Amino acid sequence: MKLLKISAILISMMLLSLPANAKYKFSVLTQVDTSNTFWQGIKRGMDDACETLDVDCQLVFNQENGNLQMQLTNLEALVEQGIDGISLVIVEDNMFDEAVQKAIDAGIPVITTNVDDSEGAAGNARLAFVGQDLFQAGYELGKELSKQFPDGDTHVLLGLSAPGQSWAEARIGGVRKFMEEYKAANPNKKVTWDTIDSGLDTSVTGQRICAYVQGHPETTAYFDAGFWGAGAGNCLRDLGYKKNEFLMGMFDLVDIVMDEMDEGYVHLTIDQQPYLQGYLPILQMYLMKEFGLSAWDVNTGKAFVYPSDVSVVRKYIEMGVR
Amino acid sequence: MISKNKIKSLLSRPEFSALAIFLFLLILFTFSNDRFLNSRNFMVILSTYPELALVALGITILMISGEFDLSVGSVFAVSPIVTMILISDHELHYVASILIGLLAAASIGFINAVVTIKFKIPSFIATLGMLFMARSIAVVISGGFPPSVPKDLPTEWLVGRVDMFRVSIFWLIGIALICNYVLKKTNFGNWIFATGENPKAAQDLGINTFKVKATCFVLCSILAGFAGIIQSFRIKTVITSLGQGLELQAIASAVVGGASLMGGIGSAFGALIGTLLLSIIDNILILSRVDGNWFKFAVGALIVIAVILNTVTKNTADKIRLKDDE
Repeated sequence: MKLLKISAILISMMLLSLPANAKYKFSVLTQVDTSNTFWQGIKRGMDDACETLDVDCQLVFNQENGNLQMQLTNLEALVEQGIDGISLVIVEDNMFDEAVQKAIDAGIPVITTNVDDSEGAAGNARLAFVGQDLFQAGYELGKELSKQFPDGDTHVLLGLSAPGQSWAEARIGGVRKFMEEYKAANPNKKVTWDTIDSGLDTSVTGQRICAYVQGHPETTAYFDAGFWGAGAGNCLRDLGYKKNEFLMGMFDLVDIVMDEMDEGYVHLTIDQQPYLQGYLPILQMYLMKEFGLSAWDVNTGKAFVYPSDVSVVRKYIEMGVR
Repeated sequence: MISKNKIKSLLSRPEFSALAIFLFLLILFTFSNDRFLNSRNFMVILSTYPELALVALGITILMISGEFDLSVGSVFAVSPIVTMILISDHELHYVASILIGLLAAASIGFINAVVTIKFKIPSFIATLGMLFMARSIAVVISGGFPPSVPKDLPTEWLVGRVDMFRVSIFWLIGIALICNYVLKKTNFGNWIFATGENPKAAQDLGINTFKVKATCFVLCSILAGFAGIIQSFRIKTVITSLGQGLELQAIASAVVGGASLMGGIGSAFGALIGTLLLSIIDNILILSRVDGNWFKFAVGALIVIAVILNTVTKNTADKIRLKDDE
């Protein structure tokens, strides 16, 4: 009985914490769960846009990280509910086609954020994409970091954080594409690379990179599909690597990446500006509903961040907006 | 000549198969990869080993008592987040902050125990619920952005380097020795085995099985929380996804190390060997340049092989006993 009373109080508190009736109700759907640090930046952008525009927003995290069926079920429920606008991540090309089309047919604007159908507008009925061109970003990461490759042969390790997931495959695919071009452009150098399942945990990824590097000391550089590679800084120091002796390039701005940039073990990261990925879809959907304007694509992410930029971007990271 | 009794005794040890596979792989990898058996590689393996082994140790003891905890991965995140919030945002002394962080872990363990035992809910379900709740707590109390680890925080006593080792390995050895002593040499250890093997019979013998299981739940959570604090001190960062998926890894380590999902079987040494085995498998896959897409398959296959061997050796030991009886 006590348990029932406590449950009733908790449910009442949760219901009372919901915002008052707003003019529009928008939802953002992701495939990740709440513990994803990167998505907290998107949430901050969404929250700020919703507060500014006075609309009711909900970010629907998955209970289970990466469970796409769960995300699809949430999407279908929202479409049935007749929500005013939906922003979502599409990490699988076919699964969401029907549900998105149904939403569009029902007059619900749908904008993809963070990750889009790999065929873009040709592959899905969504109206616009706000996010990073993942393949291009990977290519640019490789190209930019290659400017620091030392003379002589080049052997690179590619960290495919989540094999089979389109965002990771696209980014590492972009780096690989650049390495192929780099090899062709440098016929006098021996250029090779290996790809590993580097994992989605800072500690695990760090250990795997160090295990590889100590076994293959000829390795020049490491590219990570996310930010987890920054976890290698610690064990690289243990292995006796000096600052800037081993190059690392990755994505996103999180504390550990900034710390390792300060230490001299991460040399380049690409900021895809998650705040904008949360803010802009809400703004666009609001403008569409309020003034009948159309949606537009936004490439939020090719911003290179170097160690010299750390002090500048750190204050924005602390604010949760970068 | 080794007597049948000695062979039987050896094969009956829960950690025997894991130890045999470990030695086999150690020899195999040593000859197949000249970069495997060197101090630098073992320095890499041992850097994360204490954290994983502490969680596996807690899980193993809980499994011996006949229960199970899926929430350890989330507790692994909650403790360091609580600790770091207290240190950074409330400027509390780091020792007090760590103790409160561990207290938070202990509370989660106690809630797991009460829900599981008092409400007679299978621990699989109760701790599955806690897995989600604790992860959510980690995100909520940190607002999604846990504070940074202060640069001047004294961490040497926990993760400092002593030659090729980190201090955390000595913490692990100390804790494992205590756990081993408790399991093998004390009444409480006997109660844990008895409770796991046959709770009804244990109760009839006057053992307070609630207290035994609750202690194991709390210990399991404290060890997971402590391991999380070690990791956050080592990598000098706290993120809300810390320890995600760790529960399966810890359970795999415990099972490979010989712990039974049915309760009543397992050892502290087995937890350490099981974790080490999985760590070197992971390591050799990287060194061998196994294609990224095959990585999980290889790890999974080796886990299954280890568990099958466990069963085979146990059956062999049972048969030896039957022959002796004849």
